[in-house]
Parts: sequence; structure tokens; C-alpha cells
Amino acid sequence: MIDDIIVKTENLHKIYAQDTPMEVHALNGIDIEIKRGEMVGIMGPSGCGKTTLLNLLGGIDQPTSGKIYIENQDISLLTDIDMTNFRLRNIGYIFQLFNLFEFLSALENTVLPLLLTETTRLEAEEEAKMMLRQMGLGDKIYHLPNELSGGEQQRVAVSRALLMSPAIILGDEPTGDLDQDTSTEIMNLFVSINENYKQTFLVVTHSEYIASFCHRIIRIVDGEIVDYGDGRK
Amino acid sequence: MSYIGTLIQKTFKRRLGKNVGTLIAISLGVSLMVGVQITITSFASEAIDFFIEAVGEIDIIITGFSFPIQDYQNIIDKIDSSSINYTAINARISQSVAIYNLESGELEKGVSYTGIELDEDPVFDSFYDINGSIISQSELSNIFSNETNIMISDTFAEDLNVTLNSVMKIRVGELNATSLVFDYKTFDVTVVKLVKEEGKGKELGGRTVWTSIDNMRSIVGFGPNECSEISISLSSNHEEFPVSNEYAKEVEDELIELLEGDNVIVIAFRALILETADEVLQDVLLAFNLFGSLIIFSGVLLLVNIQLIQVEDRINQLGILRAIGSRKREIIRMILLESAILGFLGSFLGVAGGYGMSRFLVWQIGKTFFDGEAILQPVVTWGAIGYSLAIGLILAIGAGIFPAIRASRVDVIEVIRGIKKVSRKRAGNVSLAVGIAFILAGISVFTTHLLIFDSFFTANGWNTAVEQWTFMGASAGILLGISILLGYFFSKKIMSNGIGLTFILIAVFMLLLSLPQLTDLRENNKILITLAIVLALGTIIWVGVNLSAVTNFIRNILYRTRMKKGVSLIASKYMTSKAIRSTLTFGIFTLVLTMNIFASVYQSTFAYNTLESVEFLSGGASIFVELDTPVANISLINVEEDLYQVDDSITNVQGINSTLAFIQTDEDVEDLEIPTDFFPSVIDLIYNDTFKTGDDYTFDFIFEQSVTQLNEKYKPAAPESYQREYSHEIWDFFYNRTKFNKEGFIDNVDGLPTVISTSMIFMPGDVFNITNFYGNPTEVIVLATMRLYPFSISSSFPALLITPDLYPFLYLNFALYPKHTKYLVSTNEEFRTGRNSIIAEKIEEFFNGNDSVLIQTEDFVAASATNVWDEMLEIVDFQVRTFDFMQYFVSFGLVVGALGMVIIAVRNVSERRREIGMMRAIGYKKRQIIQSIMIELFILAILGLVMGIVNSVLLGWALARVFDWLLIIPVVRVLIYTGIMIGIALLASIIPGIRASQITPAEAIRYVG
Repeated sequence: MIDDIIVKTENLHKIYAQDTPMEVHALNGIDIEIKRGEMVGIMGPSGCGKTTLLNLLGGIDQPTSGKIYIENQDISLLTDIDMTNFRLRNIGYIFQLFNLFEFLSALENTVLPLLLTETTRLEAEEEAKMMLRQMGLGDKIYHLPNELSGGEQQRVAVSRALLMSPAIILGDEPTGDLDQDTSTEIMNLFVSINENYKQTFLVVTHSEYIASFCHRIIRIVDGEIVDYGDGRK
Repeated sequence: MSYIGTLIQKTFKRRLGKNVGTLIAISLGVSLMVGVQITITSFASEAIDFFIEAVGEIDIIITGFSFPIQDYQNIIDKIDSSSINYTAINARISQSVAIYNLESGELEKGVSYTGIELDEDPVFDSFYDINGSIISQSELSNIFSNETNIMISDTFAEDLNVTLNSVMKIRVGELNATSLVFDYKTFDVTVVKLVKEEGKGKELGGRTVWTSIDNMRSIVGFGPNECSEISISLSSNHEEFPVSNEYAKEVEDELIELLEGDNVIVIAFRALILETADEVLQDVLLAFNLFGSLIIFSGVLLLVNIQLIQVEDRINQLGILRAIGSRKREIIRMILLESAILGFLGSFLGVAGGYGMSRFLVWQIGKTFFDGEAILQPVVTWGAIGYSLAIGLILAIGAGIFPAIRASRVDVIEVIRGIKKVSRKRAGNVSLAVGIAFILAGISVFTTHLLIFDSFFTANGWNTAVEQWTFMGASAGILLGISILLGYFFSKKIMSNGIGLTFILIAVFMLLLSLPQLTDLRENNKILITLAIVLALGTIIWVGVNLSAVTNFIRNILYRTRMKKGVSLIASKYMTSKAIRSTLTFGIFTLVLTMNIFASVYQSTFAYNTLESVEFLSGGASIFVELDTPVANISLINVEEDLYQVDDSITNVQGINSTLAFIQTDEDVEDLEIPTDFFPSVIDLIYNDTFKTGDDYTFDFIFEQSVTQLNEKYKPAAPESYQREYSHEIWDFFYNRTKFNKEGFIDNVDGLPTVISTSMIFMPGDVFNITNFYGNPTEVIVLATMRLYPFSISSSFPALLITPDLYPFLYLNFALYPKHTKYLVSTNEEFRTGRNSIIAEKIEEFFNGNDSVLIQTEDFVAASATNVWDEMLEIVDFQVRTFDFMQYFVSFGLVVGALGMVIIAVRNVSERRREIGMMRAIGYKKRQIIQSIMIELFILAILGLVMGIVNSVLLGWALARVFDWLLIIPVVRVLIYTGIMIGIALLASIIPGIRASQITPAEAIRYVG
């Protein structure tokens, strides 16, 4: 495998409710490669398998068959504990509904992943504060999510995803709940992080406008890739 | 409304698992209530049955207390011609005797030797032979054809080791009609008939042997128209046609008037027993009810908690309902209807659970209070079941009201947008009115007292529970009012803190300042238990309000452990985010543990201090001896001289004259704690040299409180030397016959002669008449109460000590004077570990052994010798067992609380599937998810435990301070409770923890509840 390929899947299948009348073939032989520092969009109609693919890549769901390599490691072979550790250190998640803990402050939401490592609390908090400041939330670090705007909440989620310097950040409709201006603001933030830190992004979206911020767009229809965005079809 | 009905149907189906959890929680809560209710009812009814078992259908007894009632036929005629309607009447002659099987050595004291009329009315029941057939009048006539024939029950025969035709010795007093004294004689009786366990009403006054009234007349020297008691029944079946105590006492009054001059004593016996039983039971029932209400309260907390979860975990659905146009009242109706359905089903299950709980508790009652003799069954009536169902339903619905209101107030914007609005910081306008109303109510109570009693409290100060309750209520009104106003002007947080602190402050203030002023043990207990509840409530509210600060503190401690900090952060913060539910959860444990630990602190402190003080208070009397009759022939034996030969360790023997007299209260003595205006009491006569030789006290008894003038010097906390000095001063007043007026000050001109009380029934300053059988009432005042008088330990009647100047008023009664029936014995053995029990046995042998001179001359007396220390151990043991029972009682709250906790924990997990999915997505391992769930419950349990311990120790300390006891904290028990708590918390959380860890992140983050 080439070193600068950070994510690679081979013949990935995901079937829900297998062998039941409600069986759904969500992914049907997906093969993708994403290079380090790339910012890739995934588009497709509802129910085409975008989120399923993201969940498989993030290791929070298991494929029915096929292989997933992240940082040259076949994550489908990992045990639950190893997978969790892998997720903690290599994957950053950003969701449409932000998925912040409503009872934790911006700082506490951000610092959570670091508190699961050997880093001391003070060091972890320092790093989290720095990250929030970089995200322009320096004056809101003790605010609870319900005291922040949607854009601010998503920036907290981005801070949390970035804090562990993951191999890849997976965004599941990260601007789906935001207005146009705020969406632009968030995507510009992604672009800037991508450019400054060579951070790899994989962003699932419905919106051509959002996808336009990415280096390339993979299009999926009915669980199959119809366009790799790099000239391949 | 129809769509609400459809919605409920759908919701019930979809949320089946959750509803089952709620149903179980309601059943558990209702089980507690029903169980407590059935147990208390069963205890009360069993105890009453136990007391009146032997009374049968007898309501009134006219008695001469062993002395003859003259011309009783004339008395019956008088009653017949009066307006009194009775069902049956009989005459008997009975005497308390000792009965001895000389062959095998069995001796039974205090046996009622009863002569009956052979044609007694069947209302007084019949005799049954061992096959269960009624023994006819002609058979009885045949059985008693010989004067010395007796009939006894088969069980009594077994105890005495006799059978048909066995011969036993009986010691009976024969009346000397001229001098009105009993000459004691021993003669043989033959057992000619065994009867089955006696019918009610035949065996009045304990174990009985029967003969005919004519035989008895001849044996005890009564004339042909004399008897010793007349029994009157006012109902042929008290169960079906009960007679009220008031009516029985009215008849008693009529009889007293009717028979004035007949030298008889009339007692509404059944009413007296029932009222005495009520008095005796009052303390236990008070504790049962108060502890019971606490358990029920913890059940209510459980119900509110589960109902709250029921609402909160579908806040989204409720928001959508509101958004599409449901009105608030429809939401409330929907939630309440659900509560009603679940409450109804839960109540049914709860009744069954409660019955199971009460079976165990009632069985424990039999073991604890009735020496395991009574096999008790829970008393369950249809009425009680209906009542329990109704209460269960009301509570289940009641517990749903608060959550329903919360549900109706769901903010649509919050739900739809997934945000939370910042709630108003200050309390609303209603709080202004409520706050002022509370303050005004408090002030008006104080003002009313000031106007009526010229004092904030009452004329007497704070010496009754009612006064203290009033003070607490009024103070709480003012402080709560101020707190609510602070909420209006500043913030709700200040208000809640104020409310919690009000309860804590009142409890601590009362524990420190007012509890010691209560001189009455019963009042003391009432206040102590009230304060336990107030304190527990206060701490729950206060800690609940400041849960965030408390959990921050705990989190900082957890950060220092090896556990991942992310786990501690989530667990503690989640707990704070659901403050009300978390408070309710640890509240259950605080309540139950406060009671559990306090009961064990009380038990240990009481037991230790009581036993520690026994030697000092025993005044040097290590053994006491009681004879049923005086030694008739003192040329055979002179106890005071001969007893020294029984054992070399005996250093002192002091005889005491004792008799039975009656206490009559008059109108001036309203607060005397006896249930009637007429009460038998033991009177011991003591001379100046009874307890001392010269100035040295051979038996140095210590006094507690005394009349007003001397009581200032009473200091229970003072060193022993001080207490001796205080007591010697009182002895001097007593022996010098100093008189005191009714206000408790010396007044040798118009004052009253003094007596010493040895029981809590007669307190210093109480004034009453002591009188003899023929009625020469003499007014006396209680000078002081003795802290431990050996003879009052064993007596069922309160004992009073008098000096010889009062004895002439009682002279005719029993005519024992100057013969001794009691002896105090001191030995040079070590008080606790010495051979005093062996010496006591030797003393009994001396009187009743086969080698005894008295036995050999067949002039025996029945003697019992008791080691004071052993006796105290038994009394303390009973108290300890009682507290053990209370702990079983309260522990049911703990068990149910624990089960409730499991349900709450399971529901918590299903409610936060999404958060758990997020945690897994971020990188939390399964183990860490389990840890976070466990820590949360663990902290809540520990909070409950810590508050339980702090509250209990505070209460125990206050109690110990009142009695000058050393506070004993039963560390092992507390450690056991700690272990149980930790175990429960871990067990309760492990199942939901595992469930939580199995939630897959991909599906959980899509979960919307």
C-alpha cells in the first residue's frame, strides 16, 4: 500500500437485517482510497449508504464483508477494545446534530477524549482551551451547549474531533443543521485546518455547495460508487 | 380525548419493557406501605389478644383481693335490682399460692388456687376434658366431692411433672376472722382431673388449679356467704358485641356508688387491661408508626422518581404533542391516566408483596415480643386490602402529579430545536404571597402563645412534645417564609438552600437546646424521632440543592484515582444534570440508613450505658430475694441471721416488709400516667436503718429527679461522689419526715408526707392517695425517683417506699407486718463476673431445696433469688432484641430501595442510549461505560450512607447527652451497612452497566428516545 493513502476499503459490503424479510444491502462492494491531507466529500441521495460508509470507516459499525485499512491497519481485524483505542486516537467525529453532551461545558466536551488517555487533567484542559481559542471560542469555554449558537456548538464538536490529532476527521452532514452563512464559516474552518495541518477530512453531505469546498467528491447511489471524483467512474 | 386514548394504548405497547419496570417500582413502593400497615395492625391486635387472653367475657370484677366479700348474695341482689344490665355474674374464691411437687422438686409460685361455683354461667366458658368434651356439672360435683381434690390443665401437669392421682403440697393462707390475718398452712392436694388448655375466662390471673367454691371456703376459712371476687360480664361475646371502655367504666362508677359501705373494690377489669395494654403498646406503636411512615416516605420517593423518569425519557414526544396542538391539561390527563393504570396494577402486586413482607415481620414479632410462644399470623381484612389498594393507587397517582405537571410544561421550542432555555433565576410572584403567609403564620402562633400563656411557648416552657412541635412548626414557618422571600428577591437557589438549612438548623437547635428539657422518656422519643425525620429531610434537600458542588468535590477525589478522568467527569456531571432524580435516589438511602444506623447507635449506646451503670446504681445489692409468703415459724429459721450460712461471700442481708396497697388519684393529679384513677402498687416499708448503719449506707441507692426545691441539684452528668451526696441529702429529708407542699417546697406545717418512687409512673411532685383495702386514703407526695431499685425490676406493679409513720394506714392490708417477704443481699463477689448467680441458686435451695428445714417441716415458702446483673442483662437483651426487630422493619425499606435503584438504573441507561453511543464513538471502552454507570450509583449510595452516618451520630450524640451516656458507635454494624450499601450500589448498577456497554454506537447515535 502506498504510504500516503490513509484510508482504503476493499470490496466493502454492509447488509442490515441479513436473512430477514427486511434485509437491506446498504453498501455493495465499495472500494475507495483517500490520501493523507485530502478533503473528500461523499454525496448521494438519502438512503444510498453514505452514513453507513462513514460509520464503517469510523469503526463504530462492522462491515458484513470486505476490508478497511486506516493508516495501513486492517481495522476489521481489531478486537472491540483495540478498535475503541484506535478510534480514540485516529478518528475524529463531527455529527449533523453536533452530539455534544448537553450537561458538559464547551471545555469539558472538548477535553473528554484527552481525559481518556494518560495526559494529566491540567495538561488536557490547557490543550482543550488552546484549541477552543483557535476556534474563536476563547470567551465561551465554560458555556453549556444550550448557551451557544449552532455554529459555536459545531465548532466545539470540531475542537473535540481535532484535539487528539486524528488521522482522519469524519463529518456526517456537519452543516446540515446550520444556515448558509454558518455553513460557509464551518467549511472555511475545515479548509483552513486542512491546509494548515494537512488534516484529512471525509465529509458526507447532500449539498453541492458544501461539497464544493472538498478536493474531490465521491458519489454513491444504492450502495455503489458511481463517481470517485478523480476521473474514475 | 380519543387520540389521547389511542396514544396511551400505543405507548403502552411500545414501551412495554419500561412500563414493566415502572410497574415493579410501584409494586415495591406499595408493598412497603401495605407491609408496614399489616405489620402494625397485626402487632396491635395480637398484643391486645395476648393481654386479654385470660379475661374471657369478664368486664368487671368486684374484689376483696383475697379478703372475704361479706354476704355476696346480698350484693348480687343489689345489682339485680339496680339499673345495671349484665349478661352473667359469678362468685369465686381465689388465692395466690405456691404449689410444690415434693417428689420431683418442681415448685410453681403465684398459682391461682380458685374455687368456682359448679353452675357457673356458660358465658364464663366451660371446662373441657382431654378429649375436648365439656365436663358436666354433675361430673364436677363428683370430682370435687373430696375437699383436697384439684383439677389442673394437662400442660400445667406436665410442667409440674404430675399426672392423675399425683399428690402435691399447697401453701394456703387461712383467714383468722378475729384478727383479719392469714395464717399460712401447708396441705396435700390430689390431681383428680386433667383438662385441656383452659377456656377463656376460667384461668384469670395466670396458671390456675381449680376446686369448688365450697371446698375453697372450708380451706381458706371463709363463711358460707363469703367469696373473694364477683365477676360480671356485660356481653356474652365481646368479639361480636363489644363493650366500650367508657361504658364499662360507667358501670364501674355505678357499682362503686351502689356498693358503698360493702368494703369491696370495683374494677372495670377488661377496660383497665385494654387501656394498660394501650399504654404499654403506645411506645412501641409510636416507634412503629414513625419508623413506618419513614419507610413509606422512602417508598413515595421511589414512586416519584420512577414517574419522573417515565415522563422525562419521552420529553421529545411530549414536545411534539404540544407542537401539534395538545393542551397542557390533556398532557396532564394522559400522564395521570397512565399513572392510574400502572398504579392500579402495581397496587395489586404490592398488596401481595406487602403481605409477604408482613408475614416475615409478624413472625419476627412473635420471636421478639412474645418469646416465640405465639405463632402469629398477619391480620389481613378485606377492609385493609381495599384501604391498601386505595392508598397505593392514590400514592401512585399522587406521585405522578409532579411529573405530569412537568410534562405539561415541556417547552416546545426546547424540544423541537434540541436546546435548553435558561430558566428564570428568581422565584415567581406566587412565592411572594406564600413567603409572607408562612412568616405571618409562624408569628401568629408565637403571638397566640404569648397572649395565652404569657410566654412564647406555654406556661411550663418546653417540657412536652406538643410544645416543642408547636415551637418547631412556628419557627419553621418563619424561616421557610424568609427562604421563599429570598427566592423571590434573589434566586431560587438561595431559596432552596434556605429551605434545606431551615430543617437542618431546627433539628440541630432542638437537639442541642430543647431535647434535654424533656424529662419524660416517651416525650423524648417522640421528639427524637421527629428530629430524625426533620434532619434527614433537611440534609437531603440541602445536599440535593448543592449536588453540583458536592459532585465537583467527589470528582476531584476520583481524579486522583487510577480511573480514567473522562469516566469520572461524565458520571459526576450526568448525576448533577438530573439533580431532582439523583436527590430522590440518594434521599431514599439517606432516610433508610439514618433510621438503620440510628437504631443501632441507640441500641448500642443504651445497652452499654445501662449495663455500665448497673453496679453503681444497684447500691451494693447484688442479689434480691422475694418470698411469696412470710416464713411462718421463725423459730425454725431466721432468714436475716441464717442466710449468712448459705455462702461465705454473703456480707449483708436486709429484710424488708412489703405489702400491696392501692393508689387513688384525685382531681389534682391529672398528669399521672396511669390509665385509671385506681391502681395497685407495691409498698415497701423501710426504717432509718434499713439501708444504712449509723451514717454508712450499706445499700446506697441513687436518686434521679426530686421535688422542685431539691431538683436544682440533680445533675445526671455529675461524678458518682456528687450523685451520692445528692442522694444522701434526699434520704435525710425522707427519714426525717420533712413534709413538702404540692409545689415541691418544704412545708412542715401544711405539707404532705413523702414517699419514694421506683418507677417512671410516679414522678417527683406527683400527689395521690395511698389506701388500704378498707379505705383510709392518705395523701402523699413523691419526693424523688430512685434510679435502680432491685425489687422494681421484677414487679409488675410500680413500687413505692414509705417510712413506718405511714404504715398504720395500711396495717390491715395483708397483715404481713412486721414479717419480711423481701431481702436485699450483698456479697463480696465481683458484681459482674463473680459467683452471684450461684449464690442466688443456693439461696433458693436454702428455702426450697429438699434439704431445707422449711421443706422438711412442710412449712415451705416459695422463694426466688435473683442476681441483679443477670436480671439487667435480660432486660437489656429484650431492648436489644426490640431494636433488632426495628432494624428488620427498617431494612425492608433498604431492600426495596435497592430494588428500586436497580429499576431506576436500568431506566437511566435506556434513557441515555444516545449519550452512551456518543461516548463509544469518542473512544470510551465498554469497561469505561460500565464504570461510569457504576460510579454514578456508587456516589449516590455513598452520599446516602455518609448522610445516614452523620445524621445518626448527631442524633445519637444528642441522645447520649440527654442521659449523660457515653456515645457508642457500633463500628462493625456501621461497616456492615457500608458493605451492604456498596454491594447494593454495585449490584444495582452492574446489570444496567452491562446493558449500556452493549449498546452499539452506530444505532445509538441515531436514537431519539
